[in-house]
Amino acid sequence: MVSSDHKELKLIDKASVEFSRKELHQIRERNGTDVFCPAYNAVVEKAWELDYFHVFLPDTVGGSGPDLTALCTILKNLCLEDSSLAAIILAGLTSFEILLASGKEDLLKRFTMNGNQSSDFLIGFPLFSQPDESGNNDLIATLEAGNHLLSGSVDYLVLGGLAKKGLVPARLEGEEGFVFFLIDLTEAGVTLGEQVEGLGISACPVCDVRLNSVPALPCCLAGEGRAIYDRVSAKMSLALSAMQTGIMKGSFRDAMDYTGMREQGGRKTSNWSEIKKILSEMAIKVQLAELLVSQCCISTKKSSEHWQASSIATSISISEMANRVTSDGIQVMGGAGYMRDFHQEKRFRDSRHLMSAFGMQQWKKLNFLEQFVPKSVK
Amino acid sequence: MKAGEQMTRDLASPGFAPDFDDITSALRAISKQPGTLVKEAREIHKIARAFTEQVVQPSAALLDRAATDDPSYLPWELVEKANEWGLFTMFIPKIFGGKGYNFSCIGLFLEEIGAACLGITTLIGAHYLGFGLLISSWNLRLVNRIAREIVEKEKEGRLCLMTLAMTEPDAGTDAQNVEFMNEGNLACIARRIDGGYLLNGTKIFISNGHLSTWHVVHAYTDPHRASENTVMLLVNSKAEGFSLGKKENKMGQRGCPASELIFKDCFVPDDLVCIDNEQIKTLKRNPLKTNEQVFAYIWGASRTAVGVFGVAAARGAYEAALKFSMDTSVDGRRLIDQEWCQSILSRMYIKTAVARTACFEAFQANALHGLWKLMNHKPIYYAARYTPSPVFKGLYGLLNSKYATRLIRKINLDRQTDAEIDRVDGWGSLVKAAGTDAGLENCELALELMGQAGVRRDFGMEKIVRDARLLQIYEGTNEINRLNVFKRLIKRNCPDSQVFSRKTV
Ligand SMILES: Cc1cc2nc3c(=O)[nH]c(=O)nc-3n(C[C@H](O)[C@H](O)[C@H](O)COP(=O)(O)OP(=O)(O)OC[C@H]3O[C@@H](n4cnc5c(N)ncnc54)[C@H](O)[C@@H]3O)c2cc1C
Repeated sequence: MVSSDHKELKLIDKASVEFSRKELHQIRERNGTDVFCPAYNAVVEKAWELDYFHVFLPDTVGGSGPDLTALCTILKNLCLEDSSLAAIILAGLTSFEILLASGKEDLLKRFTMNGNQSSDFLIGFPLFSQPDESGNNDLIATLEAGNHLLSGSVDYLVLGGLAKKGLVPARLEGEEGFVFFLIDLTEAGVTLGEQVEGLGISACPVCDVRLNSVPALPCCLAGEGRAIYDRVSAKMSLALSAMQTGIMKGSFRDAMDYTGMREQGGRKTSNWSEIKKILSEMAIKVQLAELLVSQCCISTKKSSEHWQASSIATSISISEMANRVTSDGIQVMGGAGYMRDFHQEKRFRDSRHLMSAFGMQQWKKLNFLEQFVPKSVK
Repeated sequence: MKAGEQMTRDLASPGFAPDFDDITSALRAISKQPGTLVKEAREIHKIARAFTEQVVQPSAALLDRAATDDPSYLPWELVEKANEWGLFTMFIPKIFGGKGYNFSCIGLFLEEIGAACLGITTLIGAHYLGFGLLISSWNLRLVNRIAREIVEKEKEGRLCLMTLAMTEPDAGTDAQNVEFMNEGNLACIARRIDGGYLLNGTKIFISNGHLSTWHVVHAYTDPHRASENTVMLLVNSKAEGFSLGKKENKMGQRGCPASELIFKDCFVPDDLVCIDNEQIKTLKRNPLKTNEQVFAYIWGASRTAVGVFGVAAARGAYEAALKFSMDTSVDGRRLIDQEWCQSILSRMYIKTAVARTACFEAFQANALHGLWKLMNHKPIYYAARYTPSPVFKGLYGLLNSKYATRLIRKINLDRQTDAEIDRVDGWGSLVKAAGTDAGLENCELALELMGQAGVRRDFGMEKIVRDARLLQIYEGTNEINRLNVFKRLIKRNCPDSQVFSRKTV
């Protein structure tokens, strides 16, 4: 993923591996069972200070990028140890990107150039569903005295309970499509549910939200929502692929370490050809994932004709590879792989959880043909 | 002759066709099946369903929650409920005081409970695993003694559960395969002393360890030649020198504890020795082969049961996906009305049904040649079913005599042919791998379909995934079980090949 002639990227790579090892490794055990905790909040704020949220943003909004390769490198390295921080960054950046794609740079600056408390700079986003996918997000916006008011529910708002603001898709009463609205989650009409626990990324806060006539700021025009979402989710899917690649690498690394030490049948388990075969298959998938992500970074940067299709196809495939690798990562460690102390099981949970970012995997597959193939088959 | 012709002839080699008996256990069992077995199966199914609705469903998520909040949590309340329902004596033969439901129907029971909670089905199954290993020793006196204790305690509202304790910190796969034992690092040592054995060592990952009264422990009188020096000992949780160590913090099946058992100069008197080399002197097979045969008895049965756990996981995932598809609309239409989704649900249904059918075949292999062969023998079946319990009391003396154990060992160990051992053990491994793989595959499909609903704890699907992942590991990893299929069902086609051997590295 890192081009060797790129000095700055190499530094980012090294620094983020170090950060991951130092900051995330220590708290990941607690994090395996806990929901968002104060220790994790400190890590999020440290990541903010280190500009991990900024490398992907243009300098016009206080960023140091936009550098997709740098972002992917950071996210991948964070996920070597623990994926919750990367998931928080992914959700936060998705909100930022939507504001950016909606032409709301001034609004975005209020977050990116101010504040160093995570609650101030993060914007919650329902990362795990497509806006019109499941019928769960039944938000309706009504116009009263020139102001929009939102009512209804947002299920599974990522960063809900932590961020003070949220970016949510809602239908304008009587109109087709959806619009993204910025809402203040501390408003009186907002009811935040308990933290929702899930399969993985346990330190990434999530909650269900009910809104009752909550003032909301529209961020795009009616009918624009879908196009903005498609563009942003394609880009951020690449970041997701990088995360899955990091999870796979971590799983593979620990599997190699364990099987290189564990003896059964009088030899290292890595010497049994069945285990060797599984390890090889894991290594092949890791290599392939790194290659795909780096190729996609290049085509996205260049805005190549098919960058969106490549990004989505890559993320669908890498999620499947990650599911396989993290399962094998458990298997080659036998019973130890299933125990929380060894952290392999966490990767198994995280990769499956992240597979559903930007919507149901099956739905993403089904839509791929209609969304992309007419454009890319020439 | 042209190259193509040669190839055709080689590929059509008739020597590779499976043996008729290897693929027809269910068919051959038909005429040997007692007629009332179906009625009995219905009863078992009904009890399991009622227990699931009244106890398992309301407590599965709570148990998971409790053990997450407090990793030292033990599910006493649930175990006591199961005891009140009589579940720990259901499959203990009537001749030993139990309710005498037929073992070959245990699959229906385990599936029903497992589809709602794999942790609870493992908890109940692990008790029968311990009991099954004890039976595999064919030590009638001890089977009778322990079974009666379980029954008596149940009547008094007290618990008496069992474990099977083989796995050690440095020997998991090695502890389960005679081929690896001598090369491995087995460290649970049984030293012969006056009046019994002195046991030292540690066992890990033992299901129900913290809940059980009796532990059926594999130990070795000579760890360097462990494969032919294995002893099976019964250790009471109150025995001096026995203590409980760590309770594992697992990804799933959190309602069923996995425990460390520690033995420090723990004295096991002769009357708690299930089987050792002294006891098998008169049998026709040597100690190594007998040891392997005892393994085959228990694995043939218990791995089939784990195959059923896989069926249960597959079914649980399927049911969650079905409900989700009925409740969820995408693009303005319910998922259940969309063709692609119907196809996914059908795939899940097929995987479940195929795995269940395979398990049924394996159960019948056990019924014909394995652990419950005798209990399924029609005259014995009917005698056990219709003889009033007090009559069995008159048999106590007989059951406790060493002649009865000797006879039963002759029948079960000496008369079981090598081909029967292969079939029972091979099919156990076959369905263990196939069933548990099907379970996981359905979980993956459900997650792909359900999106965020699949990963939310409050929807239940994520627990099924966490629970199901264990199935491919315990009772021998699926890799080892696949190799055992090679050993038991394939290798005979290429007798000069090696399996579980350094030469295959
Ligand atoms: C929750 C839980 C409950 C359990 N309950 C019980 C119980 O009640 N009683 C009990 O005795 N045990 C129990 N076990 C132990 C279980 O049976 C073992 O975990 C399993 O047999 C694997 O052993 P291991 O974990 O030591 O892995 P290892 O033996 O270390 O194996 C690690 C990996 O190496 C592979 N491997 C090892 N040797 C070879 C080889 N020769 N060729 C190819 N591959 C090889 C394995 O397939 C595996 O992938 C339980 C385990 C768990 C996790």
